[in-house]
Amino acid sequence: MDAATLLDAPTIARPRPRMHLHHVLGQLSIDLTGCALGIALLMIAGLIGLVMARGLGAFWPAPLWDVTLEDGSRDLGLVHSHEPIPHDVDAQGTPHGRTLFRIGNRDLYGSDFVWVKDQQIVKRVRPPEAAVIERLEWGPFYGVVSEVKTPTITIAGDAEKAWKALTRHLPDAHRRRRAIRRIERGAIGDINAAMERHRLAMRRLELGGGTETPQGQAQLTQHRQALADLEARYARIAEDLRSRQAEDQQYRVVLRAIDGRAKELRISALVRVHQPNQLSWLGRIAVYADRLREFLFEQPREANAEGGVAPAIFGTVMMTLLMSVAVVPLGVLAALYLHEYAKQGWLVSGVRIAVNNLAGVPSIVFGVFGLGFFCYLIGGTIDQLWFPERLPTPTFGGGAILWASLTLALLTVPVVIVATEEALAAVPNGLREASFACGATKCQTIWHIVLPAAVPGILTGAILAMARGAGEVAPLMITGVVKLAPELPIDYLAPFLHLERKFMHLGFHIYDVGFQSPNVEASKAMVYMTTLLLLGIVVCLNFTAMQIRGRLRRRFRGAEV
Amino acid sequence: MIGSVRQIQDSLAVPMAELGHPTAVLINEAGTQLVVGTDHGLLTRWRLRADGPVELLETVPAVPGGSVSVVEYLLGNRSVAIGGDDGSIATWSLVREESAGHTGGGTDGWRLTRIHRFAPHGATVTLINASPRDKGFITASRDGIARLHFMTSERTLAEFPLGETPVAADFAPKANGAVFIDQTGRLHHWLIYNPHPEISWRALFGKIWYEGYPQPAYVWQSTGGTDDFESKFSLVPLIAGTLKGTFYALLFAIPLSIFGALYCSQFLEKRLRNAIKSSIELMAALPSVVLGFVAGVVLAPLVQTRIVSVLALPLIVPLISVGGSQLLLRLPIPSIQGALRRHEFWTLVAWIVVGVWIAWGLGPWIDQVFFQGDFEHWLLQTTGTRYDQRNSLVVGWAMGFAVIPLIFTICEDAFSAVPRHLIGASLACGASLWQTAWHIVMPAAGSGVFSAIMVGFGRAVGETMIVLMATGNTPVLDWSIFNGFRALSANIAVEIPEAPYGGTLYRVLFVAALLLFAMTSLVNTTAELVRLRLRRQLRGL
Repeated sequence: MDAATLLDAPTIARPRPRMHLHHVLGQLSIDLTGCALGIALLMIAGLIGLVMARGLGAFWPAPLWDVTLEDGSRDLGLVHSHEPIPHDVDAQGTPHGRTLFRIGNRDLYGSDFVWVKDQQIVKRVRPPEAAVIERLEWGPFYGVVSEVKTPTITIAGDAEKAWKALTRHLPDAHRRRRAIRRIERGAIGDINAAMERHRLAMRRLELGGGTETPQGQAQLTQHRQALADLEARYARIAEDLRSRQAEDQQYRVVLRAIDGRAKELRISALVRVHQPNQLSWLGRIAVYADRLREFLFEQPREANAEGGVAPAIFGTVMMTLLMSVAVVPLGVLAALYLHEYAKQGWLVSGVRIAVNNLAGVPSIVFGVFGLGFFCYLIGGTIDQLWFPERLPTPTFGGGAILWASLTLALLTVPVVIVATEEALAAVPNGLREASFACGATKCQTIWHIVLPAAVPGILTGAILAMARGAGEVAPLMITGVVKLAPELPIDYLAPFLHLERKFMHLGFHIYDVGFQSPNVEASKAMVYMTTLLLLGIVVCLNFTAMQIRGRLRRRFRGAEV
Repeated sequence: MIGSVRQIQDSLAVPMAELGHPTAVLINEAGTQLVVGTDHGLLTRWRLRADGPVELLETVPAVPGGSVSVVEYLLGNRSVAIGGDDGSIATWSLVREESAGHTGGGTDGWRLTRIHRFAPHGATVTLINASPRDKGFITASRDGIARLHFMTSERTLAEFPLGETPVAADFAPKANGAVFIDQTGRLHHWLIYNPHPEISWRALFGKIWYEGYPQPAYVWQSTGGTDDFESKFSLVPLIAGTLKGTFYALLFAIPLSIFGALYCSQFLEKRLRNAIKSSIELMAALPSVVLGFVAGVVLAPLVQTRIVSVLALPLIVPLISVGGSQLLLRLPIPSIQGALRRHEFWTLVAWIVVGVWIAWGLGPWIDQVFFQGDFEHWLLQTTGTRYDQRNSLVVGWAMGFAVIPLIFTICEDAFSAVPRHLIGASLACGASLWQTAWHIVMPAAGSGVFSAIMVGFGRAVGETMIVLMATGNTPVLDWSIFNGFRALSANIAVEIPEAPYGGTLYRVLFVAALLLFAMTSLVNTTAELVRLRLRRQLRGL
């Protein structure tokens, strides 16, 4: 081509150069490569847009439709999706459509959804009195409130009045439920924990052979006495609990589904009620905000398909923090050695290649290593040495937040090393030499001059490592994440920080609810929201890191000139 | 419950005729089948009925030129081990008759088939005893030698020199020991340490004839419903799955990322370059669980309904976008032309959207014209492949999504590092922008591109969540883009939580992890070395 181009060179001087075939082809090729870049960008935008649209729209209260079919049957529900029926077209060739209605009332109908062919629909209206009643169990109820019973009066017959009564009684019912839960989880939980402690202490005495000595016997009696006291306290609290529950049982509501079937519930078993067809914009926003609040700050319900993800958020954050506590010193020290102390030779090149390799090792391999090394080997040894009384139930010898964090720390250490090295390399040598010239030792120079200058870079590395760690799921799945962890890794019982506990994680939550849940379709809203949340966290972390790095680069570009 | 014991004597006249004299006999658990070995070396299978005569189902030559001396069921009663008077040992299993045309098959649709053969003894085999725990068995011969075999891996694991002809043998309940009594009345007690008998190189990587299978096969099926299940630990389908996923991911990612990087570094205006590089970096940060979720839950059903559109995309989109933007540039309206030239890239993006839209709408039409409106049916009819919803196409997209930013970033760095004077010289000689990019920049950064692909390969090989969520995870061996697969990584994630610590499955999964580690380190080291070489080369320039 070169020869041809050279020969043609003089023709360029012509006023309007004739387009050569290879120029046209070249232009097409350039456009093609641009097309590749465009597709990649569109894919990112599409993915993020999709997750945002589905996630943000998930909690918006949608209207309830009352649909009458040809055969006279009626359904009440939300429109979930609409699609053309495959291989079913009418005379004109346009496919018939069908709508997936979410009809709720799982305890009555057995399933949450129903497909309705558009042709079969005779009438669809939005009845104003139709209510969405979110419950603690069995998913939402779509129907009307027909009766409200309290110890003093019963309101029946008038749906309007019943609705008003229900909304009036709901806050009290929630207060009662919270009080009951406080007793169950707080007071009774404490007693159970104390009893478990005494039992373990007794077991330890037995294992240690201390029961033969008189002191051991005395201790045993003490423990037994304490256990008996606790039992008595438990009985008192349980009595209180029973009376509260009995009181709570008296406040009831009767709901009626569209097919006339009734369902009676405790008012305290309802989470949230609204009549979507009557809601004003403000009312909708209030429902949306309340759902969002529940999502962010409450416990999950219904096999994680409803409720909130608070424990998963907590687990993700805590695991990430633990991981950074482990990874930052390790990575920074390694980078300091590699960059400041080590003689640049084949050994250091080898270490660099190894670090690079480590970054490329699949995360699941780290998970397998963590399981075999941390959980079974180290954890198992710790159990045998310090917690023999709990065996065969593992304490540290199974999945735990500590092991998961350490596994992720290994996984992310190359990120920190590379970022720190880059930061160290960006510190101008003049600074070091000036420090040496003033008589500082190497150690002093590094500590007082080099490290402070490299802090933004190290921070970038730490944030990138956190972002990587927060989004990683595969190694966690086998080193300590569970679908439902009843206890958080931090609580008010000594020793407050329970590193041996399993935990919940946003990423695993997505996998679990989206793929392992018994009711995938109904829990999609939750999954999209969780995805959005995780995406938000990771993107924010990355963005912060990018900003810091950008500023750092600009600063040192100035310093070197 | 307390009635007297009744003994019902019922003699069966088994018409052996020319088959020879019976030398060994075996009855199955249900009492419906009888296996008889004869002194003509034949193995015969009979149907036993509560009422009616015994019926000969099939006859197979088991010990040619000799006689069958011992027959014994192995654990699970699906296979029999057979010893001959010439010392030969083999295991036979009932295999379902594939087609009626087979010769020598039984009349009930099953056929006794020899699936494994073991090293023969030097003398007549006198006894066989099956392990109560696994598919192992002990054989002993007249010359006083006993051996421990394992059926699945077709290995002879141990030899016990007893000295005298053994008359009886038995396994310990945990199969960790064996006792023999020889004809002089001495008792031999051997302890056996044999924790993972089913594993051998062949069991992991070779074709194995499992019991009940019509031919040797590569199968991964680590656990079954029952304790007597024959574990199948072939890593081959998993490795193939990993490579299949990687292949489709790279097929999707390589063109997009390399060309994208070329455009970004050579043709894109500088103003946009940094923003685009940042967004690609953002793409790298997307958690794979999000990609897997979107691929498995959103994309897979969508692709299934519009599969033809999706297949048309790679053809139509470049055509429309390139053609469209070129066409617009040829429009003889100067004001539009100026605007278009300034925003060349965005015009292109807009045309891509148009192309996607057109392909999407065109899909059902193409489907009607070429596939009678039912692509899946057409696929099944013409190629015999069933369409899986979660297939390699979807995985290829999702994993490609994860790999693109990696390849892009490294390539972009490599392209940008090509010295400006090379490009300047080329342009000064009259080469067009494209010629410079293709013939100067590309070759100069060639090793960078290579190392980028290697790194991308390493990432795709080890990716777990995407393949876990976006494939059906069925360990099958095929290369169709419309079927799923099970990758090594997903297999580990699925199975290791249930694998008992230190057990065979646990260790096999560690082997799988080691394999992944080896593959990725090899690839990454290569990439790193190549990159170092590139750096030296460029310094030389």
